Amino acid sequence: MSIAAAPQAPVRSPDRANETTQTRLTAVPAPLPAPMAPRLPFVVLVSMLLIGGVVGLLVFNTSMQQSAFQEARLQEQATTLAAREQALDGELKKMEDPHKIAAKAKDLGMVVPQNAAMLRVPEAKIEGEAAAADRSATPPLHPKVAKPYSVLVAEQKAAEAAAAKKKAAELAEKKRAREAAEEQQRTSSGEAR
Amino acid sequence: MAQRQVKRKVRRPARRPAPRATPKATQRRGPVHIRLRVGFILVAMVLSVFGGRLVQLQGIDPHSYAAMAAAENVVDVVLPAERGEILDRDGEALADSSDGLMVLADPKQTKKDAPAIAAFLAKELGVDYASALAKLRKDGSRFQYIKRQVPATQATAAVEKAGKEGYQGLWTSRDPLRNYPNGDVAANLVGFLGNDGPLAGLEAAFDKHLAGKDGHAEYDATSPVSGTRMPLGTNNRVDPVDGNDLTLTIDRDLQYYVQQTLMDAVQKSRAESGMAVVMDTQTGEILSLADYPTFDARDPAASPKSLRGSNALSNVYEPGSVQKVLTVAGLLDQGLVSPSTRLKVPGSYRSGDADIHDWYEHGMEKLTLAGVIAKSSNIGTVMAANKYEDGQLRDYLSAFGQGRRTGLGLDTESAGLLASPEAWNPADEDRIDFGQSISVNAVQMTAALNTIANGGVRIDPSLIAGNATNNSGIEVGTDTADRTRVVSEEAASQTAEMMERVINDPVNGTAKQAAVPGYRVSGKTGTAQRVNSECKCYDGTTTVSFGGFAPTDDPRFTVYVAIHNPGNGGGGGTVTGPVFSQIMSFALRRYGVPPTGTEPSKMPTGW
Repeated sequence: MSIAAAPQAPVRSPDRANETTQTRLTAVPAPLPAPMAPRLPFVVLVSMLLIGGVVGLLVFNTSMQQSAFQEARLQEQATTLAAREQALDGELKKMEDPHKIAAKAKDLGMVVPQNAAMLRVPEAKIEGEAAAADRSATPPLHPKVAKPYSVLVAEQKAAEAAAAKKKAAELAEKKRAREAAEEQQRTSSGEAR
Repeated sequence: MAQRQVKRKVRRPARRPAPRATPKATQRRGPVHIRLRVGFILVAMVLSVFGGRLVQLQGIDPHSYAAMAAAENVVDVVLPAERGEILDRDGEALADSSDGLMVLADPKQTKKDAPAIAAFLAKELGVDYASALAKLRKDGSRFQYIKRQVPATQATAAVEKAGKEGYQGLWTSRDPLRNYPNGDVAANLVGFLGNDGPLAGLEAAFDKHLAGKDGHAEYDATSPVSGTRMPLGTNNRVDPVDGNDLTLTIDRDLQYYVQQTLMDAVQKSRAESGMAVVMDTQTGEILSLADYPTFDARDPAASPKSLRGSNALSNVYEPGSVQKVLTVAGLLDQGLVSPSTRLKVPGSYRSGDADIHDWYEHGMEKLTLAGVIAKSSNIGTVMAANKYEDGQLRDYLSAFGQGRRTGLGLDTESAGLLASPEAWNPADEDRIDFGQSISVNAVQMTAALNTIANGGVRIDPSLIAGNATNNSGIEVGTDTADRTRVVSEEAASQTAEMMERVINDPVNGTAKQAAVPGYRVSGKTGTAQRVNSECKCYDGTTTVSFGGFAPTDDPRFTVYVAIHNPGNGGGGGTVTGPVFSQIMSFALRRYGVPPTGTEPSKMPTGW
């Protein structure tokens, strides 16, 4: 296209060419000075934004810090309460100890039933044999752990050993006394001799 | 700062084109170019110091200072995982954890007030005054344990109060607390936790299952002391993984009753020790496994080490006549005998190079097989068992679970002793027929008897409800319990009826004391000589036992009681029979099992 158009250019009348050139070169009216935005509101806006931002950040940070302290406080409270709950739960469990319940029941005069009969209500029947609740089925209460057998044996052995030692000591004492007596006798008889 | 001073010096001549006004001053300070040069040198020196420092900080060791700066305010706290609880079948805690603290002291700070602080601690924490005083005064130490495993509330309160009263140098640290609210109830199974780890029982065997994994939290704190979190700072958190609970098949209240009843029987018969097992017939769940003597899990140190586990699992012994039940059940299963098979039982029987005798003197006796069981005749049993072909008895006993561990999950369990096929010989077999030359643990024996109760199907006994993996990586529990048929249903029910005659036959029965009024009960006595571990011989002491189940025609519970070395010379019927009766009666009542209402067996025992 440009090849086809190129030869035309020189054909243009110089007048026209002149005209165009002139039009192009015509001094454009000086651009109107850009409308001056009032300076003050802008400065105020920017300052406001800046101050607002800074203050907001400060407030935000402070409140975060504040809530961090509060969190720590509440956390501590939660820990204390949890520990308290655990302590109470532990007390409850200790009260549920079968040993304790058995002891309390015994204090109230309760016993383990020897044998119970069962009622079948629809058939109006009694199954099994009821027996008077005496103490025979109630295992005795013992201290938490009665002395183990091995400890009892050890104690017995110790007692026996102690007794044997005592006996031996007594025997030795007697022997010494007798020897002393004999000695004395001998010396006295010797003197007599 | 230094730079600015230098600059001021340098600028000064420019600000004062002074030579005009005061030529003398210029001369005093020297010519301009000298002052400039001195100034530049100073600047260069200062700058090179800065440069050197820069290279040192950024080039040689760039991270350590950054790390130090970060560490200044970073707090890393351990988030403790809670150890799982050990629960009974109803969810009652047998062992549970709670927050505990250790109270520590810095003797350097406590030394001056030691007597006052020791008195204070004795009052608040119940520690011994003298030993606390010694710790508080310890020279050259900055760390002393005052008391470990104190409940958190108590420890915190005490240390706070100490602070208020002006005592310095006390603080607390985490020390989780393990509670055993029931003391010795099931302590033989549960075991206990020492200060630094599990030491016995399920606590040790299932430590990995129970332990859990501690997490930790790392964050910037306003100060390392207060630990207040700094918002928007570093915050790395790994949540702790709590341990798993372990639910047992044990029934706590039944366990208590069994333990107390057993203790009473052991003490009354002046015996050395005893054990009792209660098993749910239909599920193989162990409802109670009692040992006496046992220990208090809250104070394990008060008992010798040998008692801090379950002897019912770890101790093996010769089962004695209870074993006859298994011998006979196999014979019935093979169709070699029937309960009414007639036997002429002589007073003595030659086996190998020794004679076998019965527990009572007698001439020629006419007993049925049921009578042999009821009267517990060794000779009768051996005569009947001679009908076995080689190897058959061993196969049956092995199928009943003898000679192998029951797989409850406790590593302390002993497998017992069942002679290998190679070592098996006829003379030994005759003795095995009635429970000698074989050793078992109490749970093995219970599971074997339970096979008869459960219509001939053996169920692996289990102690764990559901399933759990122990430290050896073995999964155990009710979910994994296998069921295997050992003898036919008919053989099992015939055996059960013969065992009923042990209790209800007025003439030949050996254990009338084991009866539970209103119920049909099957059982078998056992009185075995004990093998002394030192001389490897029978030392004249005995193990008396009684195993059985009820109701005979629809069994719900299998109970087995064994008592070692009763000092009163009693046998299986007199010593363990009443214990069996009490435990069975309690269990039937507790679980609301009605009597079956059928007629008790009247199988003939003699002819």
